[in-house]
Amino acid sequence: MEDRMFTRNSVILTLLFLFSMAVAAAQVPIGIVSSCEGASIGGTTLVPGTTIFSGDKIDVGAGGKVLVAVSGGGQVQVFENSTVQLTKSPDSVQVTIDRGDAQESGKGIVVSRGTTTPSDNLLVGVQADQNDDKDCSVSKHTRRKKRCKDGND
Amino acid sequence: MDTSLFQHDFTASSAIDTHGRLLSRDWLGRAVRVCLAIFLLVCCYPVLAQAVADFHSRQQTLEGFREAIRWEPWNPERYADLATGLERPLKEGDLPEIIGLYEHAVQLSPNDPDYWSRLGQAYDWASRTVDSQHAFEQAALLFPNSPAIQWRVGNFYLREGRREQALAALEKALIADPELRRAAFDLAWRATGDGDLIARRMIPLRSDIYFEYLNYLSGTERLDAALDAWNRIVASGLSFESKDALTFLDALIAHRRIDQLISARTTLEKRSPSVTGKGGPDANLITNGDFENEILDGGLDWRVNRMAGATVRTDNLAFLDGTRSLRIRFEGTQNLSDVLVFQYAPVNPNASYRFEGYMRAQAITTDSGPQFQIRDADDPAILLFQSEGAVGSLPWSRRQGEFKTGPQTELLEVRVTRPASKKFDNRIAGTVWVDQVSLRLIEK
Repeated sequence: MEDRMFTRNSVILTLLFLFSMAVAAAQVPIGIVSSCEGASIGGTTLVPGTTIFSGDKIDVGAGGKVLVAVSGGGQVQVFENSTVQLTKSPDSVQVTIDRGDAQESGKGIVVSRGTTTPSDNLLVGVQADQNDDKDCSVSKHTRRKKRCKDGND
Repeated sequence: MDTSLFQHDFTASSAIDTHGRLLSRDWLGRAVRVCLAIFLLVCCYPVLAQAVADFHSRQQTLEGFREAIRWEPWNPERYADLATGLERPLKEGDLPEIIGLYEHAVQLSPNDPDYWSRLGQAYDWASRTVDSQHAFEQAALLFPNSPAIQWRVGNFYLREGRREQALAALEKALIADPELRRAAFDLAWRATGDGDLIARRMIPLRSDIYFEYLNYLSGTERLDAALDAWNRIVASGLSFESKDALTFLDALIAHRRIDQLISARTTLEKRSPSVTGKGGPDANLITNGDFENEILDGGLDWRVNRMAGATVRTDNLAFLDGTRSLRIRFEGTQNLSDVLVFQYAPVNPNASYRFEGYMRAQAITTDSGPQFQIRDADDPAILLFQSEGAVGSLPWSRRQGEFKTGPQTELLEVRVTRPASKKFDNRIAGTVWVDQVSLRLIEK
């Protein structure tokens, strides 16, 4: 009887372990880059339409800016000279600022300051220039997506 | 009968008739003119409206975009412009309006794939997955070869967990637009982390794309996946040149993957024996030791350390054998104390090697001339061989020596260097030529 119990528990634990591994391996999408300029993830220059997954760290250089359309209708703006990490929790999207500034709009997005530069203050109420990122737009004539140019260019 | 009266009557009647006809012609002319004016107005209005709408649109404000729609309500681009304006940045409650605007644009221009694609993205933003899929698929149907649309479609499928479909769409995008390649490689890795799947489903068997992928993997330190990609390149028989593999070889050198480096070198030997030398037990381990080929400045080829006071280049006027040698010209302005050219050579630990190289010198000044040096790449303090320096003027002279590698030594630096002079007159001038450099295994 004890042997059977042990076997059953082992099977359940193994299945749970495998399930948790599968969940951990699957990347959880958070949103899409709707516009960008002078920004990268892991050294790769961002282009509009790129999917942001949970755990991705976005770097924005001087003169750059990124808008992330968060699934569900929210948006995260990352300003120049900033690094933020986006992570998904069951009921919200966490935006952790390592350096620089970011701003959120929409429900379920929580912006918090990382430990790298605690002295910096979160920028609140900044009105970014609208449509100032033409370099990242999709050319209607060529149907080609333009790369996000370096902010210094 | 009074003929004069008759005549008078006749004249009066004629005048009335003429007057009536003139009056009718005048009205007709006026009507034509009015019609023409109306016609002109109708014709000119769209042009006028477009000009005014453009003017408002150029202001790049939401009010400007709305005004542009009022002037040109039949132009779908005006709705898309306003939608884009509302997206940047988004305000609470704007998303339904954005969707409505893109829907309007699609209604006005149902065969425009760009509006369908943007509508798909807006639906996706609002988590309307079914609508989003329909819009994206409509866009792909209308313009299947558009890299921008395939990029969006591929991203959508990745978010939906449909990896195979996503990678197929991304493959189309990266084939059509080279600028999307690195972004596609990186996206696929972030999304799947499955190098085998990416190689099978997303990377087409094209030399340029495969080497770009190999360089991406090498640059992002995914060396196992890079080795896998390299093996696929070799197995598929894709044509390439030695210089295409430089980034990959540099990554192997940087991470001291010596076995794989030797294996890659063997592959290159088979493909380009003139560059890497022929393989075999008596093989010359120096790449391009006769300088007959272009110096690649990376991988296992020579690397030039560019510095003030010396210029390094190949010379086809002075050589020992073949048609070229390496020429280093010193300008007499510096007391140089650094390596001038060098290359890495993978070797066996605890093995004996014979080095040989030739130098010719012309008017080399100072007491310290250029020389060959061989040292352990990981422990530069372990100098294994150092030749006599070339000073003054010398005909082609052989420099040779034998040495044994240490128990840890797997990679050597074979260098031409000039040690600093300690004399007062220490700025080196003159020219030295180098040719026929070889390193051979004597005994394991």
